Amino acid sequence: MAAKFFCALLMFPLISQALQSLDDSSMSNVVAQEGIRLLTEYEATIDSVQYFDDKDPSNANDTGGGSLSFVDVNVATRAQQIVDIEVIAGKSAAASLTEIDRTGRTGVRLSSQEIPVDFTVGDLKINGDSLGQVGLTDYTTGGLSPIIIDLWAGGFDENANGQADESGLTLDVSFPKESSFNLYYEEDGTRLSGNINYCADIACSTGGLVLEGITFDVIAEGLRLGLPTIKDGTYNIKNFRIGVSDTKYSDINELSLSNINMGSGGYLVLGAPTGAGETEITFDMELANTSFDFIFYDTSDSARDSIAAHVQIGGLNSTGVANANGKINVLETVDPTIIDPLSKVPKTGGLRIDFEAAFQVVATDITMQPNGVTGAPVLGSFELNLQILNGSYLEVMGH
Amino acid sequence: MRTLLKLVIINSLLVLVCMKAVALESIAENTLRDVTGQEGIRAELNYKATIGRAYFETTDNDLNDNSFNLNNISIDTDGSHHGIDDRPIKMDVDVINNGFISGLGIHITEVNDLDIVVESVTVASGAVSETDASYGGFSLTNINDNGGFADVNILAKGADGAEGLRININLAEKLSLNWAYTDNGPDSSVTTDDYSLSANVILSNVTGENNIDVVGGEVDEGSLNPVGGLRLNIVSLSGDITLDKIQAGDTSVLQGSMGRIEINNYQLSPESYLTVQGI
Repeated sequence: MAAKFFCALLMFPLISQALQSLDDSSMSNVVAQEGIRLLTEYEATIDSVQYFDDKDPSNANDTGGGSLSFVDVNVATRAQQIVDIEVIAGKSAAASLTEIDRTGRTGVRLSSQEIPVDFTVGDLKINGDSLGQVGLTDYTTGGLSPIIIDLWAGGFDENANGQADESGLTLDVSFPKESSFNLYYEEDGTRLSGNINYCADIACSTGGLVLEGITFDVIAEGLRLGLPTIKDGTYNIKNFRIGVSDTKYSDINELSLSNINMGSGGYLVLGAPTGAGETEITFDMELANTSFDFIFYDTSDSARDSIAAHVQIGGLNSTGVANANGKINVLETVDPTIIDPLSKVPKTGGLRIDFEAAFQVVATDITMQPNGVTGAPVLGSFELNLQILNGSYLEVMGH
Repeated sequence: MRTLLKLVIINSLLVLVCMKAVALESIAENTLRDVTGQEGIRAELNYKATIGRAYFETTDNDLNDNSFNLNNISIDTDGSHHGIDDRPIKMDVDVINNGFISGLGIHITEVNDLDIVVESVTVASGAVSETDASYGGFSLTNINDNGGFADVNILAKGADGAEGLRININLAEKLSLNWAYTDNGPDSSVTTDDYSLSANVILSNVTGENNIDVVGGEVDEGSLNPVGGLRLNIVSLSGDITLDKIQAGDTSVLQGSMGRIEINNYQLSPESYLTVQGI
């Protein structure tokens, strides 16, 4: 998208020649707006996108050397995609859903009523072993409201002076309630799939998801991604199913997250190691207070039963904020302590995440509600205080 | 970014071609009597320049001038050698006519250390100020063709009466450069606390054939008025990209790498297009 935008900017001197030939009368219905419209159709194919964790040639004990591969990548439009680009003025806090004040700031808005894009990966591999296929297909905005992306100069308030005087990038993204897409993971002909949408009710009269204040900065510790502020967002997985075809499948039913709220200040920092020849990705993250209403629907032709709860995620023992840090490597060497459950032999290393974390999950107002019943009794609540200690890891391999 | 680089190169070459066309007209026929077997222009470009601000501006109902600004651009064809041991970029420019198509062919060699740096990118409503928050800056430095060559052909379309341009590009077999996005920090100016996201980039076997045309009849949605546009049609575009030694932050402390990414054989299918219109 950025390339297209720059492309458009560089070509504008040529466009302006065409614009000059329009007479005044033909412009009479154009009010208060200037900018650029991009119309495009494309299909891009890539044989493979590979990430390599290169070994340090000076360190014989370096366990890196593995690779993560996305094979047969395809990104294509199903129909013409139209994107409008215009310069916008920032709104006051009162006009912002999340009460972020952008008064006096000038940004760039990208909006599109329809983004008919499919993205598929023919094979996802770790160290050459296949994990399966993944894809995001049938993305649509619903054709009623546009998806809007606002780009503001300046990232997070690094000097804490309350002013946008920093370098960096801030993103606001608004998904209209009618938008949806399909996600799938497939292995050996069996597909796990679901439809993601943003409707807060069956009639889809309310809903949507607005992510405000996503920031990108480069700081001394690495690349800093500021997590968004969210107020009353909705995120649903419908038609969550597993099967071998469109007609032969089993339903896992529906999951709904509504009234999603996330406070400001959360972040994720990705960095490099200190050793000159080393390769790894370090991460450090904090999650500001987050809450949502969780509903699992058990849906059949005649009934729609549900399990519901209000969930809050916060700092360990209600102090501080949820946090995690660690490092990511793709290991090539054989780890004799890990036995492949199928072959019963030690397996080559894979995508390994070493981490420690501390957070609290509180679920309240847990109910089980049969179809047609209102006011089901509350079962109770539970509180989970979890501290994952240094030395913990998750390793993922293909087979 | 690849598209940006191509367009910067193409725009630069177009300017040069226009200048050289004037030079061609001034050569009298009798001075060409002794030239046999070969015609064309050889140019050597040794260039170092700074541009304070390049911008694209729109007017919001004649109330505000909104501008997209590239601030403090510097271009150096010769890196650190400029003025000391010059290594100019060499270009051979020829008129091509094979009976079906005609145009200009530009053969580029000896790209040794081309640097393009944009200190900051800003968007402003009204007057532009140095204290405006910026999107950061970016740089493409040490651009090197590694002894190879690039060909850029700017051609008229072959069909009788067809209008528009065909631009064919073949970059050097291995074109390497250092790419960086720089966060200018909390003071929005270039200081020692500026940190970068960077990588060593290698473009391999990059080729492209594109048609560029100004078209009419594209209908603006919701309006009966046809709106003209600039249309880029892809005939073919393919290549490989490697991002090596990806780093972010204070590299005096974080000296390691976040890894290496290889993109192998990307292709844009024929009939892909991009049309740019005013709204």
